[in-house]
Amino acid sequence: MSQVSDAASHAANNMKPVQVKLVLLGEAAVGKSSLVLRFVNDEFQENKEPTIGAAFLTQKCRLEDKVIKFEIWDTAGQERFHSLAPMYYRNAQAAVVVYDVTKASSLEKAKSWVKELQRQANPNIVIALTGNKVDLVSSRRSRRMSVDNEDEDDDERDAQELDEDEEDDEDYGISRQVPTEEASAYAQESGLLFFETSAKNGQGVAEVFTEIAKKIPLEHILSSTRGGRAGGVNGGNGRVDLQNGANGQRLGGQQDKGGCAC
Amino acid sequence: MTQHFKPPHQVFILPTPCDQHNPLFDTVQSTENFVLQRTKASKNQFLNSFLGTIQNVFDTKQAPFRVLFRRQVNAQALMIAEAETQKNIDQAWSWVQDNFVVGLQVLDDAQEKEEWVLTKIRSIVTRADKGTDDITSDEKVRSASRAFRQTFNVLPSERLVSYYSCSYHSKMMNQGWMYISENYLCFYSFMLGMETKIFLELKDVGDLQKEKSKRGVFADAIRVVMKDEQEYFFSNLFHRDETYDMLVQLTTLTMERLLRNTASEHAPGMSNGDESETVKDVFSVDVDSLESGESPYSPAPTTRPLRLGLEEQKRDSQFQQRFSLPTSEHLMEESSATMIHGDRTDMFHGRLYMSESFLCFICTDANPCVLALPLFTIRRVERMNSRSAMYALNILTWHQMRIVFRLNGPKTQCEKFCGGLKTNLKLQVRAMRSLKPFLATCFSEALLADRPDIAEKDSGLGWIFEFPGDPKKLKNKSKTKLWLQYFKDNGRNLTMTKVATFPKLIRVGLPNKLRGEIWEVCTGSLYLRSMNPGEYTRLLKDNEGKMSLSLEEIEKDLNRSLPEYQAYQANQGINRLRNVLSAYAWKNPDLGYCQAMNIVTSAILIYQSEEQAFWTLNVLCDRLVPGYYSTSMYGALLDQTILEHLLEKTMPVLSKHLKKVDVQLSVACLPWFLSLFINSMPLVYAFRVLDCFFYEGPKVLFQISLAILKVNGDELLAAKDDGAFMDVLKKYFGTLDESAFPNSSNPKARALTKFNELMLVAYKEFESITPETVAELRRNHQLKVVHNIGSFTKRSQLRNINAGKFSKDEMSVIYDRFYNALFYGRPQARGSSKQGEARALDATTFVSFLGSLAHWAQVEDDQMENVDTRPSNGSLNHHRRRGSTSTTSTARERRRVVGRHFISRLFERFDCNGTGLLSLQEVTTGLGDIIHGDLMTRMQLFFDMHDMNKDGTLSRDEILSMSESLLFIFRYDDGDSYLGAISNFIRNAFEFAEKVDAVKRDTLVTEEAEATKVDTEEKKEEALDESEKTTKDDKDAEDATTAPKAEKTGSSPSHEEPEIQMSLPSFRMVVLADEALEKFFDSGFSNSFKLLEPLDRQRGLFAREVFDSLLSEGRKLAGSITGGIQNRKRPHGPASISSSSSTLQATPSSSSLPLASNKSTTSLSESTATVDGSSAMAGDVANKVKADIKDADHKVDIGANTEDDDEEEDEDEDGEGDDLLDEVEKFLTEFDLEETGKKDLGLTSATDPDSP
Repeated sequence: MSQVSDAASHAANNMKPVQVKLVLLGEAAVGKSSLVLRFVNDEFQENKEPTIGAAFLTQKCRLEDKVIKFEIWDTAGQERFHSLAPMYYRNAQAAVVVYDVTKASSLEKAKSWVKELQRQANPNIVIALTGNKVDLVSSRRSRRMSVDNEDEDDDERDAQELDEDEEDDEDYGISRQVPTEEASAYAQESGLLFFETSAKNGQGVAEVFTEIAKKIPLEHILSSTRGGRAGGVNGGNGRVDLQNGANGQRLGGQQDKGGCAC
Repeated sequence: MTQHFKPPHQVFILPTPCDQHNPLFDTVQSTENFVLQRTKASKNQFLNSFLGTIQNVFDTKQAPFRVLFRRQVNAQALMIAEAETQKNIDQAWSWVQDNFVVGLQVLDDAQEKEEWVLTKIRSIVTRADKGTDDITSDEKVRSASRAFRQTFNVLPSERLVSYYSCSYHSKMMNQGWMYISENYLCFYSFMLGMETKIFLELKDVGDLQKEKSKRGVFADAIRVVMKDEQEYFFSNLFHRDETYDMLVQLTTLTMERLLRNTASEHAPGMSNGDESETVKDVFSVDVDSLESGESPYSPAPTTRPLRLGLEEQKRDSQFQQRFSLPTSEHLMEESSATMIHGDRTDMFHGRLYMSESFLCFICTDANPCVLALPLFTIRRVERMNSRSAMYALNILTWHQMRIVFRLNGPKTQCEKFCGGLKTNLKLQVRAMRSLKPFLATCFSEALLADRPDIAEKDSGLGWIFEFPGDPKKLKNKSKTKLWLQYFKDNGRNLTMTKVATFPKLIRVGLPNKLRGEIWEVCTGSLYLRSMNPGEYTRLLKDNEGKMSLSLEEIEKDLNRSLPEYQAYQANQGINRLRNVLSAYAWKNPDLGYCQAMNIVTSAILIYQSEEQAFWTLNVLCDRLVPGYYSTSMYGALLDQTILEHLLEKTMPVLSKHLKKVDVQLSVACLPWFLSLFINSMPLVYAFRVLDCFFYEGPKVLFQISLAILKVNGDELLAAKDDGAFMDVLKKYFGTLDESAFPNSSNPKARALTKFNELMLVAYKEFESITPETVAELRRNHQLKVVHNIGSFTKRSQLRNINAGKFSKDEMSVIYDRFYNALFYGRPQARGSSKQGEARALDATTFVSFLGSLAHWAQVEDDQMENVDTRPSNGSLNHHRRRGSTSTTSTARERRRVVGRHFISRLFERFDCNGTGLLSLQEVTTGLGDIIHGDLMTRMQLFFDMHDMNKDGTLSRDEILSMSESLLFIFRYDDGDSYLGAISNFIRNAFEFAEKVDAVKRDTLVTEEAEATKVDTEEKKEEALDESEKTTKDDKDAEDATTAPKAEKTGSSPSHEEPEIQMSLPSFRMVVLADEALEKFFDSGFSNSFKLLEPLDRQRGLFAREVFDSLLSEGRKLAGSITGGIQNRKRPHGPASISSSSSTLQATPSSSSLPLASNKSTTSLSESTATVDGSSAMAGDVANKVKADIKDADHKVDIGANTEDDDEEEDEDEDGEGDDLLDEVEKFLTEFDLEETGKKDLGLTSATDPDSP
């Protein structure tokens, strides 16, 4: 599946790249920026400046005979930036909603993002649910164990765990709070792509983007030069967009297979 | 036509319609248009006592003299002046003659005449009363306030701010009154039988625009656009700008409250552990702080008018803004003055201001000069004996700088100024002591002492880790030298005067070591730091070891703030950053911490010490970029809107292009504003921008942003999507240090960097953007932005609510009502309230929430309405005082208790998790259970709610309490059938309930004889009384009430049978046995919740309906008695004190009134009071009812004391009450006999009051 290759080698390829606007959403410090950084530069920074508003990055990749140029909007995760998000996800053809597998509350936040996207965003948006930081839990805990102790952890522990995210916590044996089955079932039910990744060691990152690329109706984008202009109609200020909320169109029926890449 | 002399003071009133042919008045003089009248010196004993009572009850004395204006031939006259003495009225009369008669002769049309006179009188009156509140000494203002309350169904705590004569344009012009109160904008007019009433909530105002009326000729109009796009156009405003400013100010305050209310779940910076502690924000100024802790029911008689408070607040904030002063400073004195600085010869003419601890001077002529001198830096003040000026103050500052102020005002003003200064100086003595240690922290002192090392231990990180940029390239040394000279000439730190060179020195960039201090001088954080010594350390110490959401967030970002700067790779830098950010989060828990603050703070910390940075951060968040970092970030969104607006105005082509390719400007610009360019530009340049920003304020952000767009205009025009757009800008920031004109032959031009070019463009091309423009634009756009945020929050909250079977629209209504209850329910709740409270209803707000959905649940309002709409309540103050201190009628009290009890049980039922607070979800679920349940579940609900001991059965008391609840819910229903239903219910319940042991009976009887009689019996008895009454004819009804005791003895024993238990099935059976009850549980109860129909309207009308019907009955009665006496409508007007009741009668709604029960004993005294009122209006009382009226007089006295306008009337069981009831009953019966149908009555009275 990994025909993803670096943009530079294909620059000579005379093909016009298909632009795909992709937005990353999710709770603060789940690793959105790191995920992008891994995808774009294939690197990992322990101390990454928090995203203010949103960061913008691009990455080209090749899928079969097409070149896709991802325009990635990496949004700020802090709750109070939430009201800015519509500005970034409008017109987006794809969204990666990230949660932290070691933090149950982050999945809840992710679900609420999904809900919001399904109601407010481009109706054909492809959404990928991504559980990040699997490197923290991969070695020691089996899935079954984690199912058993899913929701008892209190906030204190959350906080503690968060502090330790940045460091090497293999030894702490951070428990997985979100079992793969649970998230995967949710994704299937809501028609989302589902992945588990680690920005730190790169596991699963490329797949996220490849699968998204496969799922997006590229021909459609090409023919309409640029995706639907959702917010442009209502007088400039689409940032906090009042009228856009009316249609809660779900993803189309083509989603039922909901490919789980794991 | 010109005014010959000043109109006599306090005689003219707002024109009030009244009867010219009032039997109480004799006409003394009369001309074609005007009539002078005085009261009849009546010999009539009755009339005198009647008048006495009226005056007593109404708390108003009718002035014995008045001037009327005759309108068209058959119309009512308007009272335009009234006076206590002949002399006053004569003055007014002659003024009228002198000023109006000539003018009126010129005008032909009656309408024109009227308009002209009214305009003139109104302008006199409105000019006379500045400052309005109910407490003002001014009768007119009081009555305006009263009229406002009576017309618009508002809470008594709602305070009128101001009122203006104006006209409202709908299909036609309606001349009337605009009332502005804390929360509402209202309009009322009554013209030609048409009533126009507009009631707007300030929190829903979306936009306010000044406009011109009459085809753009007069600038006297305001357009109000609500958030739902509804528009209202008001014109003929004499004080348009004043009105506008006031509305803007009030809506701004409302917005702030709104943001506080909905923005955050709880204060993110609040400590996780304890909830009790609230860190008070000394910077917040809002309407609450104006009303220092007074309870809404007992306004202190000395309260200053709200309007004055608002004006002062505005003036103070302008003053603080101008001199960058702390918000603790208030403008106390000001005077025109001339300043002579030091030994120099140049003089500055301008204004001198004084506040608690500052003396401020600003030059008003071309020579810029600003000084804000803290009083504690003054060593000595001398009054100079100078020939040229009477008052000259010679001030010697701490830094041995001599400043002379010559005061140019009149002598008394100067003396007042000097006196004030003396007092304030004395109060500053203590602050002077901390001056010396404070100055030791100022680098400028060290520099001047030529010992630049002494301040180093407590200064910015740059001292240790080096400053960014190459000091040589930055010309650090020569810049320092220039500043040294400036300090010598103009003072330093606290005593510095900002003259023309100051901004120049700033714009070339500040030298490294002075940067931190000059920032402090520019922002005014220097004052805060010097005036609050130790606060920073205290904040950190007091909160040591505590945790909060904000602290967690801060912790996550510490390693990610300017990571490229060395200090932040070490503990030293990280610790400082942590301290400053957490100290601020503790200080302002509502804001807490916002990402981007870490970036700004880490940058500031390079040049400033922790404490300096802390205070600078304070000024930044509170004044420079208010709302940027708040939980809703409304400030940032607002400024983005403004930027878009400015772009459209200054670069229309680019703006159009961006719209065309659908690029949103803020995707690029928002981070610039939030992080003040710090992570967009290379650090060295970002600090240059920051220098200017701290001195000149947020306008710099706009100027620079626009300049960036301008400079890159061509590239941006080529960009086809936001990706390309971002690329252009990213590239540009990377090349700021390159030459702007690399190919130029001029070496000077070649030396210009792109950054230089940027600054040039910013200041030259966007010169027109001033702090004032920004302030105004913020004012103009803020409402929309806040509403956008509001609807965004609403949408995202509703998305996460399990709505059950509620439709989207219904949920929207529930949401709105929920937050309305919160908004109005806790006006004084500071944002920093307890956790969770911000988004949940407590018991009190739940009552008002429920009241906004279901009519029966309006417990509080019953009381309020009655208080307010009653005709006889006279002065509101007076009334309220009485109401709050002593006798509220037991009946009403009782009903309120029952109602509250019922609602609080509902509350407990809704409150699934037992927190004592209801979230939106809980409320939704709870309501859903009721509304979408079925007959059975609702019966179950009622059963459970009244089964207090949860034993699965209802005891006697519980059954009775159930019936009380039902009575309570039914109390507004039309007709009497429900009374029968409830009495059936009780009867059946007792019959079908399972009897407990009969042995207990004896003991129970005695107990119950006391317990039930006192407690519950009244209720059932009443139900029975009334139900019986409905079945009997009038005569029986009379018997029933005249002999209540007999009834009691007759009926009570039957209830005092053995203790009983009713199970759910038998309860069901009892309910289903009665058609009305079955209907109630089947649909009535759930339908009582009005989600989609407007309820407020209904509520407003209800009191009106009751009142109108009673009034019309009374009037009819009086009319039938007095025969030919004219009985006219009295339209509304702020000055209509005694006729306030008639305001109500004029409502068209009186035609549609279905009054509950005209045959029952309900509202007895209401009708009596009404009869009084209306007979007073009719102006005469017929002999026939003389006796009754005397009784009524007596009753009115009691009525005023007890405020009884309740249905549960006959609870007053003491002898007097019974007597009274007897009398009333008799009276009413008599009156009932004369009337046939209530509805007809209403109709007649509504349609023909105009006819003589």
